[in-house]
Amino acid sequence: MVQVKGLTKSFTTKKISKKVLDAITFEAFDSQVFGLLGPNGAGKTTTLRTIATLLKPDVGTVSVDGYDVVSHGTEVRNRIGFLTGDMKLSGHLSCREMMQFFGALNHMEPKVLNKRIAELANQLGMEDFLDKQIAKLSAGMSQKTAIAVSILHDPHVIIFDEPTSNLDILAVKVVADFIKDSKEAGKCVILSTHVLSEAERLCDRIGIIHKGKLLCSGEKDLLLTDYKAANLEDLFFNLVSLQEVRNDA
Amino acid sequence: MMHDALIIFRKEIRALVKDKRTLFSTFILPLLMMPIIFIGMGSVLGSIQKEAVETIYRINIEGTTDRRFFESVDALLDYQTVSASESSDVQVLFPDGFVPGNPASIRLVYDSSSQKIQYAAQQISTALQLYDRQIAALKLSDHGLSFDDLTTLTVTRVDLAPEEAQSGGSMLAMMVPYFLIIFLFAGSMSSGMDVTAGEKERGSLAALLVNQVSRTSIAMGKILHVMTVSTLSAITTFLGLLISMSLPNGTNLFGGGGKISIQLLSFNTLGMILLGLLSTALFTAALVTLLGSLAKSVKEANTYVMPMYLVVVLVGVMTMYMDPSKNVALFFVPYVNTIFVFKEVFMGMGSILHVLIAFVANLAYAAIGVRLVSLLFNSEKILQTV
Repeated sequence: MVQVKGLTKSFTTKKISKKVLDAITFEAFDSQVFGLLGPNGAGKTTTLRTIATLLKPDVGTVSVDGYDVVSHGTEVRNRIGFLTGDMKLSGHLSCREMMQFFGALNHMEPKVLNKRIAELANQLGMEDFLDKQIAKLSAGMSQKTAIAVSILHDPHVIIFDEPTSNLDILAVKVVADFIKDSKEAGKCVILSTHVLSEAERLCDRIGIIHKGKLLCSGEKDLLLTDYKAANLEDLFFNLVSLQEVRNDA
Repeated sequence: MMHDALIIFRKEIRALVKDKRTLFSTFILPLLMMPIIFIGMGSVLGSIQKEAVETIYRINIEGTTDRRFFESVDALLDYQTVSASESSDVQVLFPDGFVPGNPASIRLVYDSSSQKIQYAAQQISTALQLYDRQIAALKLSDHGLSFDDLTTLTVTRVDLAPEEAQSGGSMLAMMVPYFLIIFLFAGSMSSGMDVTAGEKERGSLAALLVNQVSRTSIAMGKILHVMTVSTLSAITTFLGLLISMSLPNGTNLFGGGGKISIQLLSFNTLGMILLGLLSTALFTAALVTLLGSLAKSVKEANTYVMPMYLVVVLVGVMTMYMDPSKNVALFFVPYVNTIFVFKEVFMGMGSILHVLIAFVANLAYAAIGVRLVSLLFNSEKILQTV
């Protein structure tokens, strides 16, 4: 379970300080997919990076399975798998060697690690290219490898930041299937995306973020009913218009 | 912590070994490049020289018919005389009414933009000196004297420098430290920027940083990798240089110093060189990794690393002609300390104390570098860019 309470974050340059997250609060539960939705620059990546211990909150707290991300960073990193759409595994190592490297970093016993690699290769359909150089893989194969690397240590919480950006339709299906499987396996999945149709298909709960503010969060179906929206796109534009009116007032 | 650092180090080395192109450009090319350049330069210079010697030049000689002058030119140059109205390569103009033995100003007219004509003019100039000396000897003999009678002093030099320094070591002490330091820094640049800013560009640094491994281990693993690559690269480039200097053409270009260098490498000197080289490589790796970590992209990293490279080149040039110093403070200054250690070693004056001061100082600076990279990997400013 992931709990985000009053998360506020600003980035300061020499000239200005810009608040990118303003008192964000939400919860993501086990066996569910939580979708953090919003346009580019809304604050999705900053939120996920804070959960992943890459950034520290200015105000507020973030915890993963009860461990605070600031005071118990190592325990948090033990429990999370983090994948961004920007991550491009490359180079001359094979998928297997790359997985062995990350497994060794996670202090996995060689026997356990090799068993886990075989499991993931089977689950993600990687057997055919497991020993191929990553540099020679297609985008879909490369993305499967990135997924396998991020969840090699069997994390309880899986954080995916725009995992389907720049992917073709086949590779998108790989990611979507994996998210569904993870949910069924009892994992807590947090997915950030600006593709609302993707969120519609995959998410149980959602939070809509715009200009650093969380406009709403909760059960997807309940939110659609409460805001009388036909789909997430309607919901998003209703909430954004409402916020603009409030800002103008 | 070291265990995790070694996992990262081994992975980087394994990736490097599998990358044939990088292996070739980092280790094989520097080994071959210098000998190829030297052989090429040597053969071009050789053929230019051969052509200059074999050419029959057109020389216009005015104002003298003295056989002795023509014989002097004959001994040094293949030529044919031409008249003033014809085109010529060199004109030798004696003054009107020239009488051998009387003071006279002789003009050589030629075009110095041609290497061959420059050669011909040089040979004629030498021929004129020989002719002058011949006439002077005759004048002296009229007075019952010879050139030997004009010499009253002889000088015998006693060189107190160690044998190694006398036998070409001083030339090595001047050149080699400069080349080694430059090669070391250059070798660390591409790998140092690739494992930091390059990984940021590819988005793969985030995958490392969200792992449970400590960020100090990540910093150490990367620095160890860069150090290994830069040391091996510097050694292979240096070997390439030694091979070049030992080639027949190379010795022409470098005055034969390279052959001697191999004799100088005893067990002790090799040990001192390695201590200096490895500690500087570690410091350089830490420095480049630190600068690379500050950048968002390899392009940006270049703008941080290049000024440092220029500083190192400047230190190398400034110290090239300096004698080894007894000032201990210099051995605490990175790069300067290694250059002076190498100078001392090549001049047969290697000091264990100086080597140890330089070694410990460089290790201390490298440790500070590791700590700073580790702090950077924990800092918000850097993490925003991964």
